[in-house]
Amino acid sequence: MAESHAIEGSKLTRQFGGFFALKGVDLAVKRGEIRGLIGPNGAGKSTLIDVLSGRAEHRSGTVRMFGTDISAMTAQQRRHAGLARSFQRTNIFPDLTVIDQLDIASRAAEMPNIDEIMAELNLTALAFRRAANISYGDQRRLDLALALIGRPKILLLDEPAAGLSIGESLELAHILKDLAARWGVTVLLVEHDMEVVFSICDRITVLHLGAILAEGTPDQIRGVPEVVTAYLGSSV
Amino acid sequence: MLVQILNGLVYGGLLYIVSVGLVLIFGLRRIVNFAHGSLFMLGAYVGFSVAAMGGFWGALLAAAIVLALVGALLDIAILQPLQREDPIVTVLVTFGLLLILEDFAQFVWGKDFLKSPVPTMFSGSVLIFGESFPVYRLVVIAVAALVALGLSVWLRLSKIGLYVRASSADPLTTAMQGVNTDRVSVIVVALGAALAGISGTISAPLLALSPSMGSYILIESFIVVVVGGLGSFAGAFIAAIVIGQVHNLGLVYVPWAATMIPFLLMVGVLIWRPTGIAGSHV
Repeated sequence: MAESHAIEGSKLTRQFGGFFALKGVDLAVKRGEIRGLIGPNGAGKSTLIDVLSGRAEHRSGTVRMFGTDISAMTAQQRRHAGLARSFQRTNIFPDLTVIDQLDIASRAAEMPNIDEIMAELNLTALAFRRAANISYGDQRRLDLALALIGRPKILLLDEPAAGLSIGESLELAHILKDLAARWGVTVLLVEHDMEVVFSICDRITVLHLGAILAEGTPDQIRGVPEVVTAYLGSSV
Repeated sequence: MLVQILNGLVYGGLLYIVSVGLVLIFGLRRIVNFAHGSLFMLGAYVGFSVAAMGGFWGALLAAAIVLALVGALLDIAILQPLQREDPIVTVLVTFGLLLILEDFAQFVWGKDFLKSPVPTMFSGSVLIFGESFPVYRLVVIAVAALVALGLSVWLRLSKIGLYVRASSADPLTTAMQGVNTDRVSVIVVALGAALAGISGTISAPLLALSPSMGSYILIESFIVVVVGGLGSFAGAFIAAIVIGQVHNLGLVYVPWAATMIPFLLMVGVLIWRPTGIAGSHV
């Protein structure tokens, strides 16, 4: 029997009025893999993350987690099952302290590891600061920390390096790759910073106009002319 | 002047207890609960009926418990099933509920105005800087202050309070962190309804009871919520105190414009700060 994938979307379709944000997308990510999901703005990357995490409903298709159909599960149930995600925007709870936010996220965790996460992401000194009063880079790390509480099995990250400097982005990428390897987390990473994506991803999926344009290892993706023309240019 | 300011605090205190329930429900559900005024009215009638047998404290407890149950039912039977619908659907349904509850009150307690006596233990007046002021009105101010303090402590120090603050900022994301926001919602709507019930009961000796008494305070409570900043507890407190003063001083000094003043204040605040006094701060 073939090994089930950590997260798998089959024939996923999401429609806004007459516009199809996802057109029957098939995506399967192996256990322990770091998968990059790239594409131009409006390609459907965040929509796909929303559908996989249960934040948005899909019109048709199924979502499976380790072989089990989770399409009917709410976002909260998926979180309890070990599927965590981050968000494009930071500072979602600006009035709450760092530790209060991690406390909320730990509700879904069988083993709340707040101290461990704060240490891994250099947030310990900021524990009692309001999120609105910490730097943007720290807010980004807090966003990642919220998703990592309880050592999720699958992590969906929506542009975790957006707005960071080159140095901060690469540091975040290093932390992410290290944690994913040590904890055995499967990662689906949406990111516009190609240095981050090509440096840590095992495989990359390119989404364009709600459909998959290409899929392969970083080297294979670099060699797809349509991807280079439509999205990468000469940046990688 | 001192008496007018104290009377303003009495009205502001009542407005705060009603409007903070609206703030709680709006923060979590992102809907404007038009039935909230009728919860205040029901609290007044329940308190009126129980006070004859159980005294003031019995009435207060009964109103809080009955209205909390009504609130829990409202959330489970109406707000939760409608949470995926367009917010206007919920607004219309709660408006319909307001009319139904008014008819229900008319059926049970009649159309005529009823007057609840001031509890014996709080009858009489005290002298404050040489001015006489009814003890019961001071009790109303004290109850409002206790509610504000208790709510603030609960929101800051309890786990549920933390979830309420998070849900008020972003309910969907809070749910995605693993918090059962439906359960939090039942608690919050029950608490908001209980506060409306308490407010109705303590206001009964000050106001004439009628099935439509909830509509008037509902409008001023909406003004409090908008002026304070939608979903802000601290903003609602400040706005309720200010509107209580404006309302009362207006009645004394410019009675011909008294009903307009809260609306003018709201327009002024919205031009100055479109997100209200407290903005998006919970």
